[in-house]
Amino acid sequence: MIFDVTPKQLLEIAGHKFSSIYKWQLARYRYGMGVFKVDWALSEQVPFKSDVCKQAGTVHIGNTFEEIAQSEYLISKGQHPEKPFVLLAQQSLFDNTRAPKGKHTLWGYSHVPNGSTKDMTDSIEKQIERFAPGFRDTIIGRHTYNTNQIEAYNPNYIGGDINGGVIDIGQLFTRPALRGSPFRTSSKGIYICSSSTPPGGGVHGMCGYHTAERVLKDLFPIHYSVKI
Amino acid sequence: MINHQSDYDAVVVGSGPNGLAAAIRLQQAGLSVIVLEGKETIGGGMRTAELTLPGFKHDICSAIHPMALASPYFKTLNLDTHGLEYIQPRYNLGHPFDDGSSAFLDNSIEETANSLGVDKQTYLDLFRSLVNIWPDIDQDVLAPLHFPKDPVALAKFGLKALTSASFFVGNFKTKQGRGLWAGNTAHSLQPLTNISTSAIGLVLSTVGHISGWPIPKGGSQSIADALASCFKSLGGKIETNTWIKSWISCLKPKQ
Repeated sequence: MIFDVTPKQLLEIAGHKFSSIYKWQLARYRYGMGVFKVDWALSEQVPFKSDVCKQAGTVHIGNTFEEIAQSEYLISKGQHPEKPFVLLAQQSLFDNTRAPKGKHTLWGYSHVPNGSTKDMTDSIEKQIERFAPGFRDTIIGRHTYNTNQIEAYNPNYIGGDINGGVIDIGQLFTRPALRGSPFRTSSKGIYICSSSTPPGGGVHGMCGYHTAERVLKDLFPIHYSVKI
Repeated sequence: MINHQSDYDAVVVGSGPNGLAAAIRLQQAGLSVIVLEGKETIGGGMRTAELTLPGFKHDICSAIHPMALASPYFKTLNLDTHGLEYIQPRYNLGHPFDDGSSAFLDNSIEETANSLGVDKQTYLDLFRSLVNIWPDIDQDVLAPLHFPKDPVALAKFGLKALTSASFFVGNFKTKQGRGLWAGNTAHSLQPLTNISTSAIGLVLSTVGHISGWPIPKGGSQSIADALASCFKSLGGKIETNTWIKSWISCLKPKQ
């Protein structure tokens, strides 16, 4: 059994199979900041003042290092910054399958405290407007997810944490728990392969690949030698 | 529906990038594998849907995929033969400032560095070196702790990566260089004073200079669909609408 879920759901599903120490380790696993997600349908592309941003797949809105560092600091203290750091993606500029001809999509989020239900739409749009005057006039559709809604959509996003748990020094190599192999649970035959294991969040599949290698070594040594 | 899982050697719960990668690897090794997905569609954080208006396709979670393209495992799967096409934007990243100027991350280290004023040489030295050693360390960086293939190269990366973004930013003097660094390290989802917050910024920029920050044609769902196609072509089985919320004894794979 291999679970692409975070420790919280693993405890709910298979907790009764685990040793008390392992259960304790999973229960103290820490989740990080959440995200407030916005998707826009636009009548035209974002009117950035900067020509570079008009041709960029990703745009980071946050001005200086100090402003971004302050925004992230406040969020880690459970607050909502007035000028949040905003990540944007402009897929439809480069992929014409995303929107009707001449129209555009815009994808964006800001970080928020874990479990926050505050509507960040206005703060986020003000930030974009700051670097792209007239942005609000291009909006023809909008969809938002707060952290509760995104967790309801995908239960691996605990409190809106898209990385499957904080990837700080305490959980960089020892996620989800300090063990010989992070992918093995205390119950023979049960493994965890989600982004709550090394190397952590992101779409790369490496957590799953390493889990499979572990499973083969532990349970199917003859198959492990099969060349791929 | 779930009554015949004991026919399989392995059961994978969840069809995100890691669930599908694990399933493919096991199936490749000759095991029989079934993936159980709770929702109607597969993909975890790789899904695309018309969230706003008809004809507008939005990536629900992940959108831009530097790590999918740079993944040492996905690279071996030839996902292009399963319909996956990556599009490279003109600039990987734009970062605007209040004064109307902007910094950017281009595939070219030189072009990126040229826009950073007095930080040009610092940027060139840093990323030329990292781009150079990346092929020797990517498997070790993207893995659990173990003895690395090239410890010297890994240490070159590790000593920088373990610093906090707030400490490392001292290498940059210009607003552009410092702002670019802040945006890339903020992907760590932590205060930038935490140690090791430099790691994500270094990795994202390095792979940006090697393979770019690509957009999957049709949306992130295309990556999920290509992985599923790869898995099924090897004989794997996927069952959707099967949400595992508690232990079910028939989940036990055959021994």
